Amino acid sequence: MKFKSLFFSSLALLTVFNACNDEPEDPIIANESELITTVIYELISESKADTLQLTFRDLDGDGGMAPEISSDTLKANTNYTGLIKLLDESGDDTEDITVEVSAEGEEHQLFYLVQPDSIAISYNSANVDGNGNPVGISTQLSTGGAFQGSLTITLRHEPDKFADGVADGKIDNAGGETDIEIEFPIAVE
Amino acid sequence: MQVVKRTSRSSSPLRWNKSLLGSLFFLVSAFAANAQTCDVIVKGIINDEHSEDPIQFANVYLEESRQGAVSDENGSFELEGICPGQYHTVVSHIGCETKRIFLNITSDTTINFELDHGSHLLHEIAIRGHHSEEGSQESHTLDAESINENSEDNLAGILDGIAGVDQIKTGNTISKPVVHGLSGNRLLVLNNGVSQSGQQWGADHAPAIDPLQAGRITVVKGVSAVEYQGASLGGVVLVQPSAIDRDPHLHSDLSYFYQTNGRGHGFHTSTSRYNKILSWKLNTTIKKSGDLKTPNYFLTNTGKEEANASLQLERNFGERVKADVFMSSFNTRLGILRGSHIGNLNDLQEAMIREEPFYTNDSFSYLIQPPSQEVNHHLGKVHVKYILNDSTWFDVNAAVQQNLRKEFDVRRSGRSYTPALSLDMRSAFLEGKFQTQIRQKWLLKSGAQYMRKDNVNAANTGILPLIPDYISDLVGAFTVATYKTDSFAFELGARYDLEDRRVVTISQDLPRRPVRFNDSYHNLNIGAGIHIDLNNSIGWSYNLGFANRNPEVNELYSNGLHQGVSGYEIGDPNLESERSFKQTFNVLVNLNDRLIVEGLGYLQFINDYIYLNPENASILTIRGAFPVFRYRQTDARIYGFDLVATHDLNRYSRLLLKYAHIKGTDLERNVGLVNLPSNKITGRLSFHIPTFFGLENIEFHISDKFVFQQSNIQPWQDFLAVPDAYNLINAELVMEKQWKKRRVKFWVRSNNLANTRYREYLNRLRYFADETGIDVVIGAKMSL
Repeated sequence: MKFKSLFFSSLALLTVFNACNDEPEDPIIANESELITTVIYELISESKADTLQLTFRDLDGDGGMAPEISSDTLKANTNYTGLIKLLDESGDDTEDITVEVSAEGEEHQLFYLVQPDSIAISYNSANVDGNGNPVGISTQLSTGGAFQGSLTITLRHEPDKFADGVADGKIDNAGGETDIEIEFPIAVE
Repeated sequence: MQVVKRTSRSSSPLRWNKSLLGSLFFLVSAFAANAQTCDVIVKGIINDEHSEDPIQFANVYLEESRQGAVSDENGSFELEGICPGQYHTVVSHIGCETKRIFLNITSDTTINFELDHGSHLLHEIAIRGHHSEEGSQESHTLDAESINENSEDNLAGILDGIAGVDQIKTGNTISKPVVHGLSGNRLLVLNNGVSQSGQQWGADHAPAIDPLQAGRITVVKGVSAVEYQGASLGGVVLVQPSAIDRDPHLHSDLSYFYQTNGRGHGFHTSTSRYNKILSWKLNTTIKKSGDLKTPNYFLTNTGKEEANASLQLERNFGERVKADVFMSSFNTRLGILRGSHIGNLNDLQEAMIREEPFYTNDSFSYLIQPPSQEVNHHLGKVHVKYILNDSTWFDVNAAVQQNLRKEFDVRRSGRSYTPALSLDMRSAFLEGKFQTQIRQKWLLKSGAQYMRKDNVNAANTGILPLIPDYISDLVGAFTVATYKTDSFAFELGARYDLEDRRVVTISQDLPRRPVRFNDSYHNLNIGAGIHIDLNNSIGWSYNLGFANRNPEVNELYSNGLHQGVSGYEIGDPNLESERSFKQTFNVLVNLNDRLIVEGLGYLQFINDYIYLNPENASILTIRGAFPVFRYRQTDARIYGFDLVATHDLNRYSRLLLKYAHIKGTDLERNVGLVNLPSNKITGRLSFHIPTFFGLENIEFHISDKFVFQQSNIQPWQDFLAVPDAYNLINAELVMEKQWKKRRVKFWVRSNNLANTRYREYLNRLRYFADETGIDVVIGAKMSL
C-alpha cells in the first residue's frame, strides 16, 4: 500500500498548503454610472418672484439610508414654469443626468400625476424629441385654489411614445420601465 | 444495448480488460486458419442483459458486405456466406442504443450479444444493477440516443421526462433541473465527475453544460450524495461522456435538427478514433434559434445561440495505468423576453394584467438584445487510474474550471452593452479515490476531495454587485462500504466536508468601503440503503440519509434589487446550515417484462430550510417602492411519490402511465413551500415495428401530459395567482435506415400538438407571457 499512503500524504500536504487563509482582494468599487440620487423639480412663478423646489435625495442609492423628500408650498392661482433636474451626487463631482435623458429624448419621457387632480401640468411644447414627441423635462404648471395632495413624477425608459394618450402625458399605455417614480407631498395655499 | 461481458458502465478495470472486443480479437484470431473463401458463418444469440430472455427482431448487419439477419423467437441469428475480413457490425433493436462493433472475422464464429433491453424504458423505469457508483439509491439514466433525439432541448429539458424530475425556468431558453422539488444550491450537478462550479444560485442561471457532449446522463433521486463533493440534499445529476469505442477506424456521427418554433437549427458532430497510442473523441455543437412563439404572439427577444466543443483523450500505460483527459468549452448567448424587464412593482402589476407583453413585435427575429446573458464555461480534467489488482484500484482526478457570466440589462446611454452583472469564477479540484474488496462480497470505496473557488466581480459594470467576491476552500473525505449478492445489497457511507470562505462585500452606506466576512462550516453526510430482490418479479429498496448544506453567498450577502423579480432581496449573514433527513422507499414489480410497475415514495425533513420571505414592508427607492424579500429559515417537510407503469399490450405496442405527486410544507407557519412543482400525470401509447419497407426500428409515440394546479400556495405568497391546470399532447416518430455503410436515423416530434395556451407555475416569466405553442422538430443522425 505504498502508493496509497504516498497518495494520501501528498493530498493532505496539498490541502494544507492551499487552505491557508488567503483573502480575496479589495473589490474595485464600481463607479455607479447609472445612478440617479437626486431629483429636483424647480418651479419658477410667472413673475419670477418665487422659485420653489420639490426635492428627492438618496445619496447612497437603493437600500441603506432612507431617501429625503421635501416640498416647498405652492401659491394658489399662479402659473409656474417647471424644470426637472436629475443628478448623481454620490461621487465627488455632481453629474447632471438630465443631459443624458435629454440626449436620448426618443427613449425617455417624464410623466406628472397630481392627486387629487386640481393642478394642471402640461408639457412645454418646445421640449420635444426627434419625433416631435414630448420629453417632459420642461413643463407649465397652473395652480387653482388651496389644496393638499401629492404629485407623482415618473421617468420611463423606452416607453411607447406613440401609444394613445402618451404625448398628452397619460402614462397608462406608455409601458417601458420605470427609472424614477417619486411621490412628493404637495400643498397649495 | 450492450455486448456480452462488456460492462462499460461498471468502473471495474478488470471487466474492462475482459471486454468482449478484446476477447473477440483473441477468439477470432485463434481460428485464423486457411479459410479465404466466402463461406464463413457468423451466428449467435441475442439475450436481454437483465432477464436473460432471448430478444426477437434484433437486427445484425455487416456494413462492409451489406449482409444482415434478424433474430428469431429464440434470439438466434445466423449470417452465412461471409468473406473473411474486417467488418463493422451494427446490432440494433427497438429502443436500444444502436451499437457498432468492429470485428475481425477469419472463420466461423459464434458471438452472443446481450442487449440492454431495458434502455427503452430508461426514461421511465430505473434499471438497477449496473450502476455501481450509485449503489442502492434510485437512479435513472438517459443514454446517448435519447439525448440526441432531444438535441434541441437543454439539460433540464431533457431530464424533465423522468418522474420526479421537473425544471424551473426563466422563459423557455433558461432552465435548471429540479429533483424531488429541490434545485439550484440544493442539487448537485457533476460534469464528468467534477462538481459544476458556477453561479448556481439564481433561478435564471442554467447549468452551463451541453448535454450532447454526454454519453449518458444519470439522475440520482437519492437521500445523500456521500461520494460527491458539493452541496446536495439528495438529488444528483451526473453528466458523463461515454468511453471511446474500441474501433481502430475514424468514425463520425453527424446530427442535425430543425425546430419550427423559434426556427432553430442545430448541428452536432462526434468523431472518434481508437488507437493504442492515443484514442480521441471530438464533439462539437452549434445551435441557433430566434424568437419563440406562443399560440398568439411572438416572445420577442427569446433567441439563443450556442457553440460548444469537447475533446476526450484516452491512453493506457501498460496493464495497470489508464489515463484520460477531458476538455470542454460551453458558450452561449441567451435573450430574455423584452417585456419581462420592468422597473418597480407598479410596472410589474401593469405587465401582469396585459394580454400580451410590452415590446411584442409582430414579426420573427433572430436578434438578441438586452436583457440577455452570455455564459462561458470551460473545463479541463485529467484522470489517472492505477489498477493494483482485480479488485483494487486508485483514481486521481484533477480539474480546473472557469465560469464567466455576463448579464445585460436595458440601460441608458448605450450602457445596455455593458454588463450589469459580470462574474468570473475559477475553481480547481483535486480528488483521490480508491476501491477495494475487503472480504468476499464486501466492497469498500474511499476518497478525499479538495476544491477551491475564486469568485470575482468585474468592476466595469457601473452597478454595485449583487453577489460579493469570495474565495472558498472545501476539503472533504468519504467512505462507502457495500455488501452485495445477486438478490441483496446493503450499503453504508459517510462523508465530511469543511468549507472555509472569505468574503468581501461592499457597504450599503457611504462612503463605500469593503466589509469582510469569514465563514466556516462543517458538513456531515450519512447515507444507508438496502435492496432486496424477493424473486424475479419483485424487488424493493429503502434508503435513508442525513445531509448538511451550508448557506451560500447569495443567501448570506445579497443586498439589492433583483430587477427581473421586482424585489429587494436582503441576505442574512447569520444563517445556519440546513439539515436534511430524507428517506426513500422504492418497489419494482416486473411481470415477465409485460407489466412493470415502479413506485418511489420519499419523505424529507429540512431543518432551517432557507427561503426568500416576502416581508410585510417595502423599500423606497428613486424608482418607487419595492417589496422586501428577506432570506429566512424555517423547518420544512417535503413528501411525495413517483409512480410509473408500463404494459405491453402486444408485441408492437406499449402503454405507459406516469404520475408524480409532491407536497412541501413550511412547518413553522403551516403554509406550502413556494416554487415546488405541480403534480402531473402522463399517459403514453407507443407502437414499434422492427422493419417496414427497408426502414428499421420504427417507433411512434403519442403522449398526453396533464399538469395539476399548484394548490399548496396561499395567495399572499405570490404576486399573481398560480396558473391553471393544463394538458399537453406530444407525438413522436423515429425510424432508422441502413444505406451501405451509413446508418441514418430520422425523427419527427411535435410538442404541444394542440397549440394549447397555458402558463407553468415554475416558469418565472409566467407573470408576463404564455408558454410556447406548437413546435415541430425534425432531426436526422447519420453514422459514417
